[in-house]
Formats: sequence, structure tokens, C-alpha cells
Amino acid sequence: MRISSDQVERIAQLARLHLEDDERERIRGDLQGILEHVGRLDEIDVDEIDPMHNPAESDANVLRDDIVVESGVSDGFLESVPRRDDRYVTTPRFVDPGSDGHG
Amino acid sequence: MIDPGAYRATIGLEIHVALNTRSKMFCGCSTDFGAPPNTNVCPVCLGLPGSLPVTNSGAVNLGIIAARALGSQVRTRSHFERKNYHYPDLPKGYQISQYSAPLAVGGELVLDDVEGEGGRIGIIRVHLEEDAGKSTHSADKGSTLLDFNRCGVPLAEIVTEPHIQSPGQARRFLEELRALLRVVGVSEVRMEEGELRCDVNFNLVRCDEGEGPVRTEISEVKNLNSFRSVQRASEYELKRHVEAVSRGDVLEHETRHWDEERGVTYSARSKEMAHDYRYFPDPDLPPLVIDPGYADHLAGGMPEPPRAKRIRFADEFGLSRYDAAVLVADPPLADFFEETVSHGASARAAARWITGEVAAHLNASGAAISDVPASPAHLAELLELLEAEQISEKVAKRVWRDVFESGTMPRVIVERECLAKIDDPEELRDIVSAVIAENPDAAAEYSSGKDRAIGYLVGKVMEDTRGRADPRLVNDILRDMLRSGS
Ligand SMILES: [Zn+2]
Repeated sequence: MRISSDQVERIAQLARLHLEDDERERIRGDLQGILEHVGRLDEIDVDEIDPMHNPAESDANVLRDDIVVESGVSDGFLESVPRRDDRYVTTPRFVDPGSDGHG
Repeated sequence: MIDPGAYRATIGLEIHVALNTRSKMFCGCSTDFGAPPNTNVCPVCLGLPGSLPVTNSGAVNLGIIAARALGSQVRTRSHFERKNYHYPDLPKGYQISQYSAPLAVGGELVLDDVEGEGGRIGIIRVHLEEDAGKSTHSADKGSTLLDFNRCGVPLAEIVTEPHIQSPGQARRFLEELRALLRVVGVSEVRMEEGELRCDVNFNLVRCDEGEGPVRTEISEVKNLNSFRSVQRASEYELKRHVEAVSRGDVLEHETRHWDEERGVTYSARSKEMAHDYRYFPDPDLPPLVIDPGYADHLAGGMPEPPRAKRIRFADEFGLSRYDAAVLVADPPLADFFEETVSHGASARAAARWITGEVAAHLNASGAAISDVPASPAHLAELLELLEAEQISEKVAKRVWRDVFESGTMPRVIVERECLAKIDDPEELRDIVSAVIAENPDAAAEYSSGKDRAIGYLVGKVMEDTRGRADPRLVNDILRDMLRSGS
């Protein structure tokens, strides 16, 4: 499988990253190398093996009771964010709420 | 020329319901609504590095109950996946959801056949996920304000088959779903707190003989937060799709938003970044393995679903569909009804009184039935007095007002205030002749042929007896006495 410059650009957009041309080419090479390395797994015959979705497959149902535990981090969190307005965290305005997901 | 009339609306819904838990889906933060912004937060729901989610068993249980209430099959094995997208109200950069192995699949919700909007609406899947935070715009519009209190609140997402055929039916479906989820305790479904949000997938389908179906492209209208807006947005899309077909335009598959004020949907214009969530299993969360016996156990303790209750009220108690629907729509009133009947009252009379007088007093006082001193035993006794014709309907209403406020038994009130019906003709004759003597003009009018004067005189008798006389008997006696001129 060969990864194209366009695919790198698309992944960068999804990750909200801006790449310069030289960066895009360098990262394309890196991703290509990673895919080739991981691609060796394709050589293994897995027809008879059930897919494993999780490394903790044997520890199913790690659950907690529905109990409220106050973290106590609220104020410290608000002190540490770069921008806030009273108790709200603020970011530059987003124009089109909900257009990129939410369901 | 294409005939738009040959098309029918095809609507599928994706409903997000906040589960009725105390704590969030993967952390111990409270789900309380209305706390000051960014109070109910912790490293897990803020997505801080090194934090690890742990699944809330209460949310899993409620998800199982929701699924079973909808007749869905709870899978013995399901797992959580990461739905990746960047948005400021989602601090982790992904939402934990379920995708390839949801909690439950299949099922249906049956709608009663009212105004042609009945039918069986299939359910594709029920899965668990977490809510995002809330973003609002600041007054100067220069920035976005973020509150992460809702971030991580447990949700069930319910996805229907595209079986809904009209905007009105979409609304009916949501009303029935809300009633069901409330009764089985899955969610309070407080709309004003955003506990139910709905995406509408809309298109038109035409089925011609001998050919495959022809469809318009699907519009996905996102994030509607009231039943009314679901209906209105669907009506708008119906009109838009029909107009496009009439003009021969080809619509695009797109995400749209609803503008409540203008009553229109508009394109989200984000095609160049079409959804690409790159789901993959969340390595932080072990799979859920649900034993069918455990799901059965939870389902076994489930209260009767609204539709089953409506059918039973109609079959067992002979109620009209309307009365059954009104009672079942208010579970505490439905319980009150059943208890009143179990105290020996006639079911129809109990239904009539509960949907009438009882509901009216509750509405007027703003109280819940559980908070007033009147009990099913009170109502049953009152109805027994009525049935035995010991009190008139009018007196019964007055007694109920007293019962409602004081909790005194009806029989005690009737005796204390001498409210028993006057059914002794001799006693009534005396009262009637006194009324005739006091109202000679009305008596003369009647005698001269004005029949409606009798109503005035009956009213006077009822007034003098504080409603204790039987109006029919009074009517007969009046006519008799006026005719004979005595
Ligand atoms: Zn938390």
C-alpha cells in the first residue's frame, strides 16, 4: 500500500494540523515506513482466529458502582486553562457548532 | 415529468437519551443538572493524560433495560470504541461510543393506530456512549464558552429503521418512546435539560412496479431537542424534497441544521470534511460480557410498558382508548386508577372521575397525586355513594373538593354536612311548592307555554337544596304541580 501526499493532507486536516510542504513529504515517508512494517502482519494467515478487540480481553466487565465521587480538581482545572471567562473555559469562536460530529 | 405524489416520506431517527444515573459514564463525577460551570469534572472526563475510564455499571444496567423494553436483543459481547473528531467541547479528541459491537440489536416500538399514524417501527440498535460538553457563544460573539459538566454523562443512542412515514408519526414515535423510557426508569427524559436529542434522517422513496425503489438522497438533520422541532424539521424536509423532485433537481446527501426561529433547515456545508470518525476499539476499556440470564433478570423487574398497559386497561376494565391513553400517560394517575378499582369502584366511573375531577384539582393546585391527602380509598367510597344514588353528582364534586384538601372520608363529610340526596317525593314536593310560591313570574311563564322557564325553577330548587335534590325528579314534580295548578 502506498500512501499519497493527499492522504497525508487529509489525515492532517482530521487531526487539525497544518503541515508545510516539506513536513508533509517527510511525514508521508514516515507513515509509508510504518505501514510497510505493520503490513508484514498481512503475511500471517488469521482465517481461523477470532478477532481480538482489546488487550484486556480476559478481564471483561471491569465496572464500578454508580456512586458520585467528587474529584476536587474543578478550581485547579480552571486556574490552569489558558483562557477563561468566570467559570467557563473559552476558545476562539467556533462558527458552525455541531457540523463535525455530535452524533 | 416526475410525479412527487408517487413518493412517500421515509424517516429514520437517531435518539440520544441521558440515562438516569447519579454519576457519569466512565468517572465518578455527578450528573446533576444546573451545577455551576465546570464543577462536575475530573481528570477522566477532562481527558487529562494518564487518566483511565471505568465503566459505570448503573449505566450498563439502564442500557440493558432500555434495550429489553424495546425488544432488542442484548448481545452477550459488546465493546466500546473511540469515535474520533476534534471539537472544543470534546476534550479527549474522541467520544467513547459503541460501533461495531453495540450493546443490543433489533427490536421495535409499536404505535397505536391513531389518525393513521400507527405501525411497527423497527429498531436497528441500542448502544451506550458518553455526552460531550456544552458550548455557548459569549455575548460579544468573540469567543466560545465551554462547560464540561455534561461531558461524559451516560447516553443511550437508539437508532430506528427508516420505517417512519410522516412527520406526525415521527413525533408520535418520540412521545411513545419517552413514555416507555420513563416508565421503565431508564431516563427522566427532561426535554428542557436536553435529556433527549434527536437526529432525523429524511428522504423520499418511490416504488414503481417491476423496478427497484427510487430514492432522493438522505438529509441528516442534526441535534433537534424538542418533539415539535423534529416534526417541523421533517415537514420542512418533506416539502424541500418534494419540490426538488418536482423541479427535477438532484439533492445531495448532506448534514443539515434546524433553525427554530426561521423554521428552516440549512446545509452544514462541511462536505470537504465528510464524516471520518476512524472508529477503533478503546484499549482503555475491557469488553462488556452480558449473560442472557442477567439481562432477563433486569428485564423481569421492569414495570409494564405503556402500550401493554393501555391494552390491558381497555380489555380488562372496558375503558375507551382515549381514557386508557390519558391515564397511562400519567403513571401515578394510572396507579391511582387501578387502586381505586381494587377498592371496589366501577372502572368506568373511576376513569371518568380521575381524568376529570381528580386531574382538574391536581392541575389547579399544581400538586402531585402522591402529595395530596386524597387516596384511592377516598375516591372508591365517593363513587360508591354516587353509585348507590345516596348523593348527587353535584354534591359528589363538592365532597371531593373537601376530600382533596382535608383527607376526610366522603361518608363522614356527607353525614356531617347533611348532603345525602333528598329522594323523598313528599319532602321534595314541599320544597318545590315553596319555590313556585317565591317565583310566581317564572311559574306563570311556564304555564303560558314558555317551556324553558322550567329550567330556571329547577335551578332554584337545586340551589335551595344545595344540590341534594335529584334534578330529574324535581323536573317531574315541577311539571306535575304547575300543570295541576296547585
Ligand atoms: Zn469526571
